[in-house]
Amino acid sequence: MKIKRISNGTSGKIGICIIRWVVFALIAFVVLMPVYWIFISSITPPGELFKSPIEYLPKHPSLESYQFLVSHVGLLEKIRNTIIIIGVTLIVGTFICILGAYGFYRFRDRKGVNLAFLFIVATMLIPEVVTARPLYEFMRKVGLFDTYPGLIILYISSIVPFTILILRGFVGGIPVVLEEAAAIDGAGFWQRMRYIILPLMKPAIATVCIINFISCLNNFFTPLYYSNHIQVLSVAIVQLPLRDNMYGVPWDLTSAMGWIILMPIILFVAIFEKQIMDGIMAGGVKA
Amino acid sequence: MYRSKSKAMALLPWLLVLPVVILRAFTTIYPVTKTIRDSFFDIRLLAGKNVFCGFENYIRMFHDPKVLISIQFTVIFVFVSMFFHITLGVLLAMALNMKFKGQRFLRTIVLIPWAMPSVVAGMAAKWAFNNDYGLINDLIRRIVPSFQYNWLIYRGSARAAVIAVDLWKDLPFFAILVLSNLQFISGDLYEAAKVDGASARQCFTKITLPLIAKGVATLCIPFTLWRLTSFDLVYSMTSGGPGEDTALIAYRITTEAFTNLNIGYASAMAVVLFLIMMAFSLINMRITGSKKFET
Amino acid sequence: MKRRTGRMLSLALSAGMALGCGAVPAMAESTEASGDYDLTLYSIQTTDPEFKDWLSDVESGTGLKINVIAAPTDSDTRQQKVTTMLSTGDSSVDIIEINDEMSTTFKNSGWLEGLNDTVMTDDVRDKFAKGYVDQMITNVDGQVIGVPSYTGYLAFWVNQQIMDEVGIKSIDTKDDFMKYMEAVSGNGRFGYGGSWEKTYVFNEIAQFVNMFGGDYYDWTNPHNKEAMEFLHELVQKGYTSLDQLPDKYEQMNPKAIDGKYGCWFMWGTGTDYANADMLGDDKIHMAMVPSFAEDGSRSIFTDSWSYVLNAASEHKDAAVKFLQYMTGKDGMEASYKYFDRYPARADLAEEIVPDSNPVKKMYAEYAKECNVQGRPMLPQTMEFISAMGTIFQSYMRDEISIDDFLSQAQGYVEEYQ
Repeated sequence: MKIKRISNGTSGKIGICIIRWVVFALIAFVVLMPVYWIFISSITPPGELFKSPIEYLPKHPSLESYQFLVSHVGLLEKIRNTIIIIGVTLIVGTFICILGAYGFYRFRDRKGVNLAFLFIVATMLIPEVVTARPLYEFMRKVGLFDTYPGLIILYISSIVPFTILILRGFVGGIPVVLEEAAAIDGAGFWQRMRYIILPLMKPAIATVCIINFISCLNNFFTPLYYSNHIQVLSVAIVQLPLRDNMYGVPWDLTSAMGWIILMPIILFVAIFEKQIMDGIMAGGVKA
Repeated sequence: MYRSKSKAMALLPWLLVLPVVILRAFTTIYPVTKTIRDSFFDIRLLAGKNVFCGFENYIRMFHDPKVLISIQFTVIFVFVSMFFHITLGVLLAMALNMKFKGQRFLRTIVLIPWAMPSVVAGMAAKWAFNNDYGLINDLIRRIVPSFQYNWLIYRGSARAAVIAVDLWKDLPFFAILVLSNLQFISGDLYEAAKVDGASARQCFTKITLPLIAKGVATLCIPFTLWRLTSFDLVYSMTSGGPGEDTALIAYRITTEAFTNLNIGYASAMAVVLFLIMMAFSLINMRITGSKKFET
Repeated sequence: MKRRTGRMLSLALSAGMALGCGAVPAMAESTEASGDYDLTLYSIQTTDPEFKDWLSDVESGTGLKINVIAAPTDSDTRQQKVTTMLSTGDSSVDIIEINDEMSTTFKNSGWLEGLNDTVMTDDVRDKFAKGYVDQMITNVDGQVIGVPSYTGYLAFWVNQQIMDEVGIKSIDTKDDFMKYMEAVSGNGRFGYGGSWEKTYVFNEIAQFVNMFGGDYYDWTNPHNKEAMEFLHELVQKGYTSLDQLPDKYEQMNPKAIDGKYGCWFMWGTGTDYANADMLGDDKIHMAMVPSFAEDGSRSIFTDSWSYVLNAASEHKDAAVKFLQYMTGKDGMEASYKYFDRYPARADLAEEIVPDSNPVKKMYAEYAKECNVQGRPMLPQTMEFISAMGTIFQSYMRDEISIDDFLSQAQGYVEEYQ
């Protein structure tokens, strides 16, 4: 924003203004065009889906695909499961990650703690898909396969490394002096946590929550492989009915399903846009 | 009384970090151990085979044309994609940092591609690059009406298409994270530079770049790792085709492990991938780590 | 303010913990509920609009209470999921619906229960198409492992509007076929269209090999070479397009509907064409497969999905009851009525399907005039299919020569056998 002041002269200002709007339009176009195209696919009846050239304003828009999904894919149950699993994951996961991040940073000079931190970072390097099969066997052996606790454990586990990394960096930004002053005033650990650390970390917590919310909602592999009965929204994408030759996956329904998942995210981001951006901008994500 | 309290204080760090450590250990130690063990066995479930074979899987891997081609593409994918993540990501971040009316709107919408489920994005991309009905060629044809090209049937263009979709989906997220780094640069620096008569370009190369370089380098770790293990895009967009030209190594491993049930072989590839990721992270941390905790 | 947010947060956190703990027993109960069912079915049909009606018919017909789990319909995902379940001895599902790719993969693995003594007894087995049962769902010990749930053909489809335009009445021989190719192709239109995605194209490779009288398992056979060179020639002469290399059926069908293809092979009864109002004797319809061989013989592939019994199942009695029902008239009728699945038993198809259904006539002709076969598959089916698809694509793109293609194909046959 300061760069703007460097240039001088009115003509230069207008020029820059034009460039700005061109850049703006270009970015918006590249980002939104495919999304819009997926949207119009979802409101076009299957018989008219493929047209060349593309009709960017569908002639006969219909909500057929959405109606189909609502009545035949068990959306309500999937939404309920998704809310339970992601809700518990975010609450419990964020809580233990805050504690962990705080512990890892404040006690980083202790060898054991530091080693534990390195362990967390190292596990980040494990490609989840490639260890999926033994993990599947393991979950069955310990009786957690196809259960809510099992799925929640896996979801939390998947968000731990990145969350810890971000939050730990943030704890580093909180001056120790604040805590020391509170400690002298007789504040115990939990009090310091509650009145000093948590309020200061609010933006960072908001940021990891939104990032984790999105990545959990899109997590397709975990619910697909580690459960049979318990199904969540993302899995519905691969459960759409086949066309009669048993091989064709219906694009009209797939695009509609994509939007059903995208909708809550867009709403969430639109409503909490300010908080999220403040969180990110406050340096919450220094990775 | 005091004693017991200090004892509790000694335990405190462990109370804090143990929940996450135990949770991670619970979900990783067994699978990793098992994967390492399996990598030394010739396990082919469909052929009913399960015998110790030493390093055979590891040796075979480097003679298997399918694996070699996926290593080749993975390297290209990671380098090209990360190159554009960094260059375009910094540019996009600066665009998002411009102060004007559309700024908030722009910052919000750029996250949409990232939030799109990748299976849907992959299927959409398969259609989008279709010559007859796809979005891409349709847009091009509005400018060049006679344009005909099928992106997904040639090695080069299919690979370019996969990388383009990856960038469309992930670049905005990267840019938002770079943006948060940009926010830390104090305006006074630019003021001072201006007083000294620096041009806009000099401001960029002398102030902006050096100050965000470390942040960007740190961001590169998770983003590169995600690329190395990425398979869902290819899975739904090209299934590795044409031929095996766009089969990323993670996709190859998934296919061997889940479809072909060559468990031992898949495990060996997984171990190699893990080692590569480890090496990469160590190198990256060496480079960035020397100046760590400066800010 | 700070105090309040702090309190709120800790409140939320403790509530979350409580919820997390409380949720455990509550949820355990709900999954346990599957104990009330007699049997669990892993089905790809659950999202079909008429699935519920089908299920209630089947439940009242068998007297079983059936618990249903939705299986992925996307082919890769489904294959991986079912493979993982069976190979790890997962007993949480009893009956699974699997396609030919999976039945040939699993039939000799011991993961599926043999049904000779219980369901597919000699008299029942004889009612099904023998060639299909022997090739696709009978294991090395002679045990039949599945109950076919329908009959489908890789039918030959033509666009009548194009045929009328170029004035060709029927495509019966290789000469007719080539004349048609020449007349139709040009200006963005192609005589022949295909789905040449690497895991789909083997259908067509094998179809042409059979049409030329070759043998898919023997690539030293000169007819195989002839068939492949024929396809290559179609590409070279512009009679078919390389654009179809990434196409699956869902990409091919819109092109067929738009009149870009003169003829093609496809499974099913043409719902996509019907949706676009392009199905009918004067538009797009099935036709007899042309004969390319000197002796005038015709070949066609049949496919099916089979209900199979998980060997690890703990509810085998109920499962057998279910499977027995599926081999009979009521089971076949329910599939036809609700899912439009053409009955797998020819004798029942005669009874169930009304003569007004155009598919009936065509399918009867296919069964009468063609050599009906299951598709060529080996134990490591998916690996084999995708390996063949890969080299086929390379050959069509002129990256390898015909001789390379043949020797590699032969190598794969030997490797995966």
